[in-house]
Amino acid sequence: MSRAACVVVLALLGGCAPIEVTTRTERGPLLRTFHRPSILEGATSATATASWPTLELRVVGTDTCRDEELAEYAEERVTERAAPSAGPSLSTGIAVTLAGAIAFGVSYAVSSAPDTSVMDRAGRFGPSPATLVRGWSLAGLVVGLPALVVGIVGYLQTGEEVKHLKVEQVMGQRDAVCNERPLSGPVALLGARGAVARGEAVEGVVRFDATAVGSPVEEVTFADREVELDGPSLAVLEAFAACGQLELEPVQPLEQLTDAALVARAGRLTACRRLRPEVVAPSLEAVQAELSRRRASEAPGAPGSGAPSGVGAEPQR
Amino acid sequence: MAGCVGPLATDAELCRDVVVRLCHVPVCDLAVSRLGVDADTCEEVLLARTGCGADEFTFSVPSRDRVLYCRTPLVEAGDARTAAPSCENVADALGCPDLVSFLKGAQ
Repeated sequence: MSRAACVVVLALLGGCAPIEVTTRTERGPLLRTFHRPSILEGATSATATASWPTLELRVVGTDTCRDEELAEYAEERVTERAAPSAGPSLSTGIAVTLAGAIAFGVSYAVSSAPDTSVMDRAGRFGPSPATLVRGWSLAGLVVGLPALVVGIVGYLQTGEEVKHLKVEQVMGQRDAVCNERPLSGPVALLGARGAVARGEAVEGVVRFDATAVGSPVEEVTFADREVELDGPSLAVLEAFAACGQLELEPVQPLEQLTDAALVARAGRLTACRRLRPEVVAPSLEAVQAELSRRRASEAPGAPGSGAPSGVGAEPQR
Repeated sequence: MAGCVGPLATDAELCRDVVVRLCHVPVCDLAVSRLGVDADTCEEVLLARTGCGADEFTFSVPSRDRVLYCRTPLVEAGDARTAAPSCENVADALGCPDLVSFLKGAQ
């Protein structure tokens, strides 16, 4: 049992030898250059056109085609292991173990007779020369063997490991829109308070009637994903929504509208004029005349307000 | 190194050791008076009385353990036989009446 414990302790001591590990990477020559194409998820876009009272959206899906230019290099990864204490430990271990072993051998050549000139309190004579030499040899082995093991383990773990690798480096990249295709699925026109209108795109085309779009549209989604719209399409949407709002609004005499309501109506008429210029123009003129009259009556030193009757009334559409 | 010891001494060798230490020159007056020996012939007389000059001698009364106990003050100066005990050490050792009786020749 004690021998087994000694072996375990020696083995554990061997594991305590510190090893320094350093790794360096050395880039080698260029092996080749090549292109790697790939396809990335693109976007959903739409173009809007309108012919009153119908709004038409053409929904298109696209991908991003990426072409990477890559260079492949050879690379060496060198791992060096060093045990600085291995040398001193090994030399100490060899010397002390050797001395211990020699002393053990010599102990059989010296006298085994006890030292009778000495007697301790327990009535024992002093140790013989052989006993003393063996005691010192044991002390040497106890010190020398672990040092020897540590030194050997350190030397065995010392060395260099080289790995040859190939590494890639991106030299350039080009992205292009590709794979344009019409989409089929749910389309929603969203306003400030949620969905304004919903439709189903078939082969990329979805149509909305003017009666369904009665409030401003802030966003278009396809299958709950945002749809990109260009500038002209955004203008068409704005105009269509404005015309739709005007259709739903009750006709009131202009002089009964507040200034804010009058300005808002002027904005809607201006937007709707892009789609229905002939229909909207007279109303817009009337609203603008009313606005001018009100501005003039508010100016300092202006004549008293009160337009003649009939002025400011919108013509019926 | 503390574990390096020799074999047990025989009773005869132990007895002789006691005699040698008690009779170490200069012999203490107490040893002379209590044991009734001469300073010049202390060892011979005590060996003859106790009979431990013979190698086959063995302790009976007092026992070996008792002798070792009473001998303890005599080794205060050191385990070597050449280490002379002080007269105080001798007095302490002769404080064992059974050892004194043994050294006087009573068994």
